[in-house]
Amino acid sequence: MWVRLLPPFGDGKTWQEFDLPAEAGVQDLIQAILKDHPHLRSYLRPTLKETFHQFIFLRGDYVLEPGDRIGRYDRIVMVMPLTGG
Amino acid sequence: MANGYMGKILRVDLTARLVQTEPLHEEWARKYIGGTGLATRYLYEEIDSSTKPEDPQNPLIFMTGPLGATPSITSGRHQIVSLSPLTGIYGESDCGGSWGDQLKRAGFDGIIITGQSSSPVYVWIRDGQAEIRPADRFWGMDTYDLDPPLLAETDRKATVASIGTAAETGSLIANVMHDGFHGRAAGRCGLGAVMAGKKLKAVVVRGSGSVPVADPEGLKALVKTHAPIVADRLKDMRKYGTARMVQASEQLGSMPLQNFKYAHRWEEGAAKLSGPAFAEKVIIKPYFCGGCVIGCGKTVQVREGPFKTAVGGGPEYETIDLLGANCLVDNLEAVCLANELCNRYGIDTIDTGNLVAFAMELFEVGLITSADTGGVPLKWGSAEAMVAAVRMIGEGTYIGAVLRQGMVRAAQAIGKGAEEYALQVKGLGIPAHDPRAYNGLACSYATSNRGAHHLSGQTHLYEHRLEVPELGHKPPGRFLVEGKGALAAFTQNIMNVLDSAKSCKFAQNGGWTIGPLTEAYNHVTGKKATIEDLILNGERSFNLKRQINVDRGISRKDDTLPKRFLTLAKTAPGYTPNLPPLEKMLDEYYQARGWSQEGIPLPETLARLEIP
Repeated sequence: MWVRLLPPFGDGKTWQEFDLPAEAGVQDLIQAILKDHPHLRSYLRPTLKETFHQFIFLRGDYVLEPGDRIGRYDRIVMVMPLTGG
Repeated sequence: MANGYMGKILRVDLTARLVQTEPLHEEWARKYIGGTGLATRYLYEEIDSSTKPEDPQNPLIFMTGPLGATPSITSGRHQIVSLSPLTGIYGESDCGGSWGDQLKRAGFDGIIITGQSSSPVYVWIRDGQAEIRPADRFWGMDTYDLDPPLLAETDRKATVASIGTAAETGSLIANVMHDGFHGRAAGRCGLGAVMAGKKLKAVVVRGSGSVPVADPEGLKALVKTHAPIVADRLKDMRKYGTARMVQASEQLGSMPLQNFKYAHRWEEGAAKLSGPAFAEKVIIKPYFCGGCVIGCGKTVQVREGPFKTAVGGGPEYETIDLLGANCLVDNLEAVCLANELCNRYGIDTIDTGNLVAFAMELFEVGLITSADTGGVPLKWGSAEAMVAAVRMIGEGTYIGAVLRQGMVRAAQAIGKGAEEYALQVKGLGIPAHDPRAYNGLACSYATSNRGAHHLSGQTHLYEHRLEVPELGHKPPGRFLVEGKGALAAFTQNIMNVLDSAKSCKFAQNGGWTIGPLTEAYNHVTGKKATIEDLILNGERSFNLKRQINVDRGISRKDDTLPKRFLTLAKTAPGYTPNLPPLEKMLDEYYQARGWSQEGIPLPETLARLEIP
């Protein structure tokens, strides 16, 4: 699967490939991203729900929930969340 | 005096040049809280079904809420309410900054301004005293240039609510600007035109008092618990402002593009207008409204080049997307200049962005030509054309003379089928959240009392990502249909609470939702209100606004969306090609509201809500 980090998390252009195990979840995805981008650790919070106030993951126009699985061929974008106004 | 309130309303009759103080109507304050609810109750009393927005007796009402000027989080806001010259129906706009707090500290919960002066005036309020002063020398000044001489004549620590030159010269999209170059706008519904009609250039306030709080220690403890969470969850808004939402909006398919007709992705454009791009190029520092722990406002400057600006309040998300993306303009500096021009002229950036995109589409299809634009080719994506069009609207030149009357009048004046391209609800331009991306929002736009406005219900936030544990609310998803009519009604009621008590809607993302807000209300007022009590007040307020509109002929036929949103799906890769099934949601909405299927509040609903 591939991930693109939009600013301020990354350059917004590069699709980076990650090899996640089958049945990987959002937490696995975060850990994989952090390995290559340790500076993003400051965005992590004690729970996924809380972390998702700092950034969200989008698969197409679907916002990933803490319990979602990541597919082998997913293309996921990390972006700052909406605040509704 | 009840805790949380100053207990006084200032009445200003500009015809008689009379200033009077009257006690706050305590029963109305109890039933309508303050802010939008209370102002609407006063409006309802002041008008009848024959009152027109341009009539001198149409009151312009500024109203604070009980939380204002207390330590409650993000409470430095006030509401302006009147009949709207732009839409002909109920009009309102919410505003941050420091003006509302200063008014309360000056000893007033609100101001009701009626009549019409024979010459330009301003109202100067200081610590319980008020007077009407001549403003001839200020008439003709823009809202940035006005502040220094006006403050020199009054008090340099005062704050100013004023109109710009657009209102003075008859624009119906004129707003009420606050805090000078900081550019805090009560943007919507053309309320600046009401001020101009009264020959009222400004209301200047300076207050040094304090607001009585029933339980200051309880409030302090509540704020201490919640403020760090709000600040942390929204910390990137301090850095990037509301521009932090630009790229997510594009990814979610909610970004307005090319007068809402663009069928492709616009990722590169969105990146150029994103929060990080703003931070890199133009942001100087954050700006905080009263009681704010977020700091989403931005002071910006474009230091050089063709779109050079002064130092001032930067463009918000709505402005960026509507003057930028909706015109396919990805030039951040041009958007900053267009924003400054709008603020100086005193025109709503949401309506202006819609009108520029409308004009660009008319130019594209040949309904207007260079002869209408002073030779400027209004081409999609042209930063120069976008800025030129803003100038035309602000100054009333060329096609701008027509556009500045708002979408409905402009389309009628241009004719030849221009209505098809005029995107509005009840005469108000569409905010920068595409209703095809959120079914609940679509229903909320259609039924909002002031016309399309994202903050009237903020339904998109509730259906997309906001959990409210104290209500048992979990976001149901954007494209679900079932329950969205009821959700739109429910969120509109909640927003009426926030706009009445006065609390910033962004803070909800930080957990400052209706539960903590109710606690804050109780600490401030000493009451023992439940969440349900406050939501009932919000429902009452919403229905009273509807009643004012029903008196002006509003019904189901007006609760609609532009055809483009109901027939043209967004088919670009990655987007769900959704079309909101509005009629189905409306059926549910009316039922949830206790209205007839024609959209009229039923007698039993009005009786339940004790609406006169």
